[in-house]
Amino acid sequence: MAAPGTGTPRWVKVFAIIGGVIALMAVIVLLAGGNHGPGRHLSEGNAAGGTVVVGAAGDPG
Amino acid sequence: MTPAWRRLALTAHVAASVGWLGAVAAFLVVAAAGLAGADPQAVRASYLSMEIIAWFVLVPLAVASLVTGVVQALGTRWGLFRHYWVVVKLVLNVLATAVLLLYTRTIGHLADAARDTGTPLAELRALGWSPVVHAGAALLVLLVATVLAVYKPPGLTPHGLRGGGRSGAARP
Repeated sequence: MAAPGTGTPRWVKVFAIIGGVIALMAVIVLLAGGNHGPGRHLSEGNAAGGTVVVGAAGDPG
Repeated sequence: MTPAWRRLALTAHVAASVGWLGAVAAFLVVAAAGLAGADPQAVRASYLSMEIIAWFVLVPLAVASLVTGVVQALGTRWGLFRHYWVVVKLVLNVLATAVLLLYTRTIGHLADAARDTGTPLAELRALGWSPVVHAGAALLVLLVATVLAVYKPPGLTPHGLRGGGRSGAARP
């Protein structure tokens, strides 16, 4: 561990490692999935339009 | 800053930041209700509520937390880039605000799906994982920021070690 007052504290290094891992995972998800955003959650063909019309006119339950 | 202004700025920052944390907790509960609810009307209402909470509570509190935090840092001896805990908190705040602003688009799409009576309950529920996951992550990030603000772990940045940014008040 660095001497008091100099160097990077251990807790900062831990935060940097965790942040780096999360950033790496986010990049992998973006590259693998290709679509992380509103369109990912909506039905085919409706991602750009914003409304979802799927099949039946009412709720099944 | 004078002591009176410093206390006012600190009060504003704490109120905005803790308010943001509480609002995210409320958002998470509403999102979970949308995911697990059995009543179609209740599920739709939860999605519409999420949009209102996002635009009229989360976004204002996030921006207020960021602005008051920067004012608080620059107006006190802590500085914005002198102490690691302030820098980490700033990074978390900026990232959380940016993700929130980007995510409002998704929330808008989810609300549109809820408004559309042609969207079946099963599909609405399937959409419900995203806000739960995002709100859960936001809650975690804001809790970490709160812990940093309370404990203020030691450590000066290279900028702080060189004595940079010492123009603030004598005490935090």
